[in-house]
Amino acid sequence: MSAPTTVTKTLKATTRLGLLKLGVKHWRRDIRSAEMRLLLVATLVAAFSMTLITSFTDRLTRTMEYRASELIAGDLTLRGPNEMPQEWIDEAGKRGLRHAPALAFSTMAYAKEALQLSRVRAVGESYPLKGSNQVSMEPFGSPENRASSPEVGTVWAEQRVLQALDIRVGDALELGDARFTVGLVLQQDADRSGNFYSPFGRILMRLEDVPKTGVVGPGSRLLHKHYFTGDEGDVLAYANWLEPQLTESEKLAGVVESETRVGGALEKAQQYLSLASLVAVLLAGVAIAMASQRFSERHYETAALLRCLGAHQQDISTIFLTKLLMTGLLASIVGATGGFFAHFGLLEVMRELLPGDLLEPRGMPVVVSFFCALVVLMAFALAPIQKLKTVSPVRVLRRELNPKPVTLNMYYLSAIGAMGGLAYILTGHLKLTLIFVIGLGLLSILYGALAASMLVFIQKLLLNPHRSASAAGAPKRFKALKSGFQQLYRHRYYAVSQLGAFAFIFTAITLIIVVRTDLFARWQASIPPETPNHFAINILPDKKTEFESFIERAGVKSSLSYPMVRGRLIEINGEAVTEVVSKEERPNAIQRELNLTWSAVLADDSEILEGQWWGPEKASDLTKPADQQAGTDTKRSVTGLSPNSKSKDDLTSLPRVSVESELATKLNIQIGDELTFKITGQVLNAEVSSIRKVKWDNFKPNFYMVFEPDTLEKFHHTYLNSFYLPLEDSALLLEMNRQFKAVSVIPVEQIIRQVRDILNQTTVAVEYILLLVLAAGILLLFATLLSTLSLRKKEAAIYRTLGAQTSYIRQLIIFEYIWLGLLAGILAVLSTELLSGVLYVQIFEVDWEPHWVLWMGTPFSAVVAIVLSGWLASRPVMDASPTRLLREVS
Amino acid sequence: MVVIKADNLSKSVSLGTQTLSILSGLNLEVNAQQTLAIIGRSGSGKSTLLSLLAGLDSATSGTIQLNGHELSSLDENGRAAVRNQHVGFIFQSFQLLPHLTALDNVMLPLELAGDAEADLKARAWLERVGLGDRLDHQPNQLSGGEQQRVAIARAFVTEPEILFADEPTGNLDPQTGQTIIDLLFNLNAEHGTTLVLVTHDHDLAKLCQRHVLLDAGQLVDGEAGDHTSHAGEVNSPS
Repeated sequence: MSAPTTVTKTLKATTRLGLLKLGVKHWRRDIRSAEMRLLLVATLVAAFSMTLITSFTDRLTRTMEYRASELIAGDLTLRGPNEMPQEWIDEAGKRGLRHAPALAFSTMAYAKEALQLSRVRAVGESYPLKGSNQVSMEPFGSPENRASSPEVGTVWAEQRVLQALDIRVGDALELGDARFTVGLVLQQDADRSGNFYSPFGRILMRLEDVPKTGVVGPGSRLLHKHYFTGDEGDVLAYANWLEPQLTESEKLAGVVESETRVGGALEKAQQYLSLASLVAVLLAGVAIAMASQRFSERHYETAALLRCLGAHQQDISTIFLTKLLMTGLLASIVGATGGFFAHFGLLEVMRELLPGDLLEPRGMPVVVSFFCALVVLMAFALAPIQKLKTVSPVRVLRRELNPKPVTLNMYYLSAIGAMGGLAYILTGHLKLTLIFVIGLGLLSILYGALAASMLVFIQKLLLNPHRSASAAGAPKRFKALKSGFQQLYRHRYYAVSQLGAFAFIFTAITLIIVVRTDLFARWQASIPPETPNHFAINILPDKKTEFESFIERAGVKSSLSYPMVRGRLIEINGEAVTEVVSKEERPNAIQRELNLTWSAVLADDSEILEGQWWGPEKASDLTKPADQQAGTDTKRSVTGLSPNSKSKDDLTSLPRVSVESELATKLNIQIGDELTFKITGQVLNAEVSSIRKVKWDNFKPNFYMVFEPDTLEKFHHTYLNSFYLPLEDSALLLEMNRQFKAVSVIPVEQIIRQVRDILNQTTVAVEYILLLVLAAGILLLFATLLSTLSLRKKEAAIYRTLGAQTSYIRQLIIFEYIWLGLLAGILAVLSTELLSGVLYVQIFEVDWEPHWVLWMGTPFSAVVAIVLSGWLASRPVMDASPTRLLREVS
Repeated sequence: MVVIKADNLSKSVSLGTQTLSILSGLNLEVNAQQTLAIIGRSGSGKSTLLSLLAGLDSATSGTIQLNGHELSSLDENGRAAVRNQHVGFIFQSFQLLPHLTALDNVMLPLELAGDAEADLKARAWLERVGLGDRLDHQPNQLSGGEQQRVAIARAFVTEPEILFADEPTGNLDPQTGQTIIDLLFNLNAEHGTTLVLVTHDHDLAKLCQRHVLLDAGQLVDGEAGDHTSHAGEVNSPS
């Protein structure tokens, strides 16, 4: 007789492949079983919704990004003060990217007797790679798109240049030694990034013409810029290749990084869509967890028998994991394929609302979703499946032996880890991923603990003898409510996990609705119908009042006039800015001259985060008496470090400046720091007295640095104003130009329109995704309810055998569902508030307020949804005979 | 030759603070090719004893030798290997996997052992038990008697030295039960298998060469025919 150990080894060696085959065979035989179908459907839903959402959003965001890239005239821009190495440009060519070079410099433009300092952009023939220049034949004439650059010997100049030089299209304009013909009026350059408030008019010319002007030589302050475009992957690969080689002064930017307002809107839209896909994945995960729990429980007997017949623990794992994998493969293939085709349907339905020229679909979202669904299945099903190998073989003789509740923490942790990985793949957003993973972990713990303690608490409350006595005379409904709860309490093992699952479903749905409603309301509000669509700059101090009354007379809605001084931040606490931050971290804002301003009042959209403003915080406070203003300030003081107004001792101290919060973070600027500015050759020191949050996307004049009054007045300054003017009203602009020759008007209507378009498209996309999340949620609701169906059947059979009426059983079940819905609804509200709070503050950067309507609405909707679907799911239990029920259960 | 040897076997389970002793200091020897009936009242520990002897469970103390393998020295996977190679089972509730066909069910132990001829052997055994035309039927398409026949085929298909049967007729009507018993004992005799049968049916027990009564966790002298002088002492086959 062979030694036992030998027996084990021989067997293992001979059965490895056989076990896989056995697993596949069992899977084929088992595919029709209810629990396998549930698992299959749950995974299929996961794959389907992930593919549908990711294919859809991928196309939409790529298209939106593509369209936004029209605003920076390419997919990627590289800029720096020096000429770039030729090999960088050659490398782009090798990688199949198209390229357009440009050179920007400031110079005087002459015509006849007049001269005007202008900002010239000299571009290659292929410019713009994307988008188009807006030009017209007449000043303020209707714009026409030109996806080309001026011809050699010709320039396109902005209205304000022509106006200053008193010339027209067709006239001559001189730059240095060369003479050009004005070809067209430049209304908008294809590259819309850069400084909005530049006081100089722009001129677009050809790069080939630059040498003959003779204005560019050693020592000239130049900006070399290169535009690239090509396939997404190639552009990204090139950016990755180039990034490490850049010197301190060179900067690479794509659409999202570029400081356009469109970039910001796009980023928010992407974040929201990512969140929606995450929620879909989460729902799928919960469904799979429920389905595999049931799958596992239904296979205890099989596992016990296999063990009895000599299967090792790892054989059990192999067989069931094979079944799981086969299920996953089938469901993922069908689901991903279905989802991919469904996305065409979705686009078809939304054709009217979408940009006409959507980019072609890619295979990537399908492949990613396919694997994601598999990973979700494995992550959530692994724990219940691994439980099967711990089933004792003695169970073949004694059915009551359930597997030990093994420590599944490791599996749950790995499930959460896997979900985190997926979250990162889907969103590419680390912070969102971390919030998601930590939130998921906390919620699972919270749900378990809260659900269990809620059950115990209510049970105690209902069992209170005093209450029970009074309940004796209570209406029948109360008794039914009580027995319904006791029914739930009897099932508390299942109830806790069901409550958790329901809470997840309702949290997911509520969260998506709440975030959608709040965010879109806020985004839409950030661009109200009459958002300023023109900026007027270069308003001279002595013309300010005159300009304001001109605007007022015309009945045009305008902002306050802000003074503007150009200056550069050079030192922080006596240390050069270039020393304080490394090149990679250095924000654009300090690489060029900043627009500095002063103000007695804090702009309405701004908010003091740290320190204290020097006067009333809101323009509206200006009307209050001085003593009240002081009171307001004391209340609003955050740190209380700085005095509210200068005391006598402070009179000799530095002027105060308020710094925009993101810039402050990047430059590590703290309250009390001393900043040194260089303004028209003079040095000005100022002390940071507050850190201020600015809403950049409100299309109003915003500034990184705001000084207190009486500090900048001595420097040369002009005023800036923004106003809304219907596009067709060009007569007013012409008149404005005639009266205020120095004033330059910059139209931003197109950018506003683009941002609006993006928001509208995102809103529509989100509505659809919301429907999908809802549908997935309802499906999961059924899956969850079905998971306890056999238990209910067994109970119903016993009740019936003991003579219970159908109405009694019905009532019992319905009231149990009412409790389930109510408790799940409460859990869902709690977690929605928690999650939305974190998301708003950390990701979307909007203010959070409690959603009181949810506190009523969610539990109510949860009760209705669970009772309705529970009713449908439990119908077979209600009317069947006890014999049939018992037979079905066994 | 002794194929099953239990020495001073005890099994107790803890129920919260109390410990319930199911078997205590039990001794038993079973010879090759012997048929043994273990009888006893409900709850006397018959099934527990069977699960220990067959290596489905581990004893609290004492030793069991099964076909030369010391079960208490093996881990669960080691015992599984012994079960697969040397032991066959027949259960009261048949224990067929509902989603598999009759043929699949019979092939199962062979497949677990990596037997390349699983299909052929299983077909042959289903023929032997009279179910040659029911190969592709699933358990729910078979009668109770037919299901138990499938189970018998599955038990014999690995040609085990020892067969354990737990109330094999418990779920069958007397007539079908009789047919099943005839089949079981015929096959057993034919293959020279050692049969350990747990039952509370004295008529069924009488068909075995030897019987032991399990009472209060101890084996006492056989009562269905006086083949044992004391528990664990073995009579030769009649």
